[in-house]
Amino acid sequence: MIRHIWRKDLQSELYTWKGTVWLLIAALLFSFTSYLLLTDKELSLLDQTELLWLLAKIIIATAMLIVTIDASSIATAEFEKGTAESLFLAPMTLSDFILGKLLASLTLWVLVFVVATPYIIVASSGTHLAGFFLGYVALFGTLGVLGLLCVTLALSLLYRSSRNTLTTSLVVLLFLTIPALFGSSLKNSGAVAGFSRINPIDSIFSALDNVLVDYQVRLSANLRFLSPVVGFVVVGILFLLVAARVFRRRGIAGEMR
Amino acid sequence: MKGILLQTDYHRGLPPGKFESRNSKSETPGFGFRTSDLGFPVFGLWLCGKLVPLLFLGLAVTGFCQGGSAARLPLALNIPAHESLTGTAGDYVTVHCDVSNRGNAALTDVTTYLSLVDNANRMPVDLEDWSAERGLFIGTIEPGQTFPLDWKIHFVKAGDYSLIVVATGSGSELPETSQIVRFRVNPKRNLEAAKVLPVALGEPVLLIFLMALVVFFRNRRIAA
Repeated sequence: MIRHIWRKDLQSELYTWKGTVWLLIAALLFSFTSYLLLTDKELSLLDQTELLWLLAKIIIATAMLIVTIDASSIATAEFEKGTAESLFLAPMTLSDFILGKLLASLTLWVLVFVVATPYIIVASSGTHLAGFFLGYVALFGTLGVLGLLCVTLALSLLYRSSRNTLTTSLVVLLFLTIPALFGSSLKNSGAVAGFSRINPIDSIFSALDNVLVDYQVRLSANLRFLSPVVGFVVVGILFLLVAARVFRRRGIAGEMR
Repeated sequence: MKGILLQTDYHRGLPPGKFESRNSKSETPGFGFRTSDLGFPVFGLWLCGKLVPLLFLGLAVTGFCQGGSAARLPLALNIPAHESLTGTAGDYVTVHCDVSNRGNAALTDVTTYLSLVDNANRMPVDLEDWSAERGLFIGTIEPGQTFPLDWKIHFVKAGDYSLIVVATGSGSELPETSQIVRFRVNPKRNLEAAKVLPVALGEPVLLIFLMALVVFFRNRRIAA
């Protein structure tokens, strides 16, 4: 049943202009960034490794935004259109439903990554970093997106409304992005330093900085950045389990109190 | 050349081999008083207005004005022609200039400045990001001595520029200048345009084509 849900959502994503236009937007963003890195006078002063780091951040941020927006409606659309009841009449558990939706949204991340791959390869040309760039973006991107998807799907089960889920998910994403916008000097101060250390998005960006700019390519050198991201995934899964339990207790036709 | 530097720096109380850096903004001369504070009577002013030019003319005729402010300093500033400054944005280069005293007397309070003009915009460039030292204080240069000056500058932005070294000293209000050195800062290309541009332009076009293809086959299947 998981496969059925996954295929159904994938077909509705890929067989419509609306679904595939996200990939085009991602490609245009990456093209625009690459063009700026190539031609802008100020950006051209940066080293190539710093340009790669900038590109990596844009790829991760774009993917997270697209996946969050898409996942906000992928489950709630079933409740809003009234198709959830007929779905649950079939021999399908809530776990199948959640995992199917999760896989469909993760597939969108995979597609964004596929779109980004040519940009990563041509930008890393001459640095011998293309493999590490691809590998670390895949690893950290998948974990970050997975954590965010769990939170978004949990919110979908609790709210059962696209608008509320989207708003809350975007606020969560923005909240997690804030420390990444701070300068390095600000990050050294007490509270910001603590929040920055446990923040998954900031950890992803720092790991990519460590790999691409500081050439710390071994996984062991990036474990300190990996642990907050894995922690975020665990918290996301726990939140999803709690939301699923609340959903079961309320029933399919239940309203949010 | 080090001996010359040591001797002059010793007199200035500076450590050997070190020039005193001077910010051009602090070089604005000030009289220290206002004309309204003078309190001269009107007649006195009129008298001064008539007499001072006559006195000045007299002194000039008798040769007393030879060391005055209008005379040029016997300083020669030379940027070696073989030194090419052309580079790429982000590079650090050294501008070399020889400052020579070609007169018979020692020159005091000699200070040199770097000046840069953006040729395309016809604007002077603020050297804040380009060089840590806008002015270098040399001090005294004995007759026949030559000071080698080195300015380390950072090519911040691509473009065509003109560079000139200016020197001032006691005994003249007129500065001496070096020859104009024109140079080009090439833009830094970290990414290879030949590889990036085909992807940046081609991938969105390819995606549009694929999307159209998918929608076309979907519509065809629905119609069937």
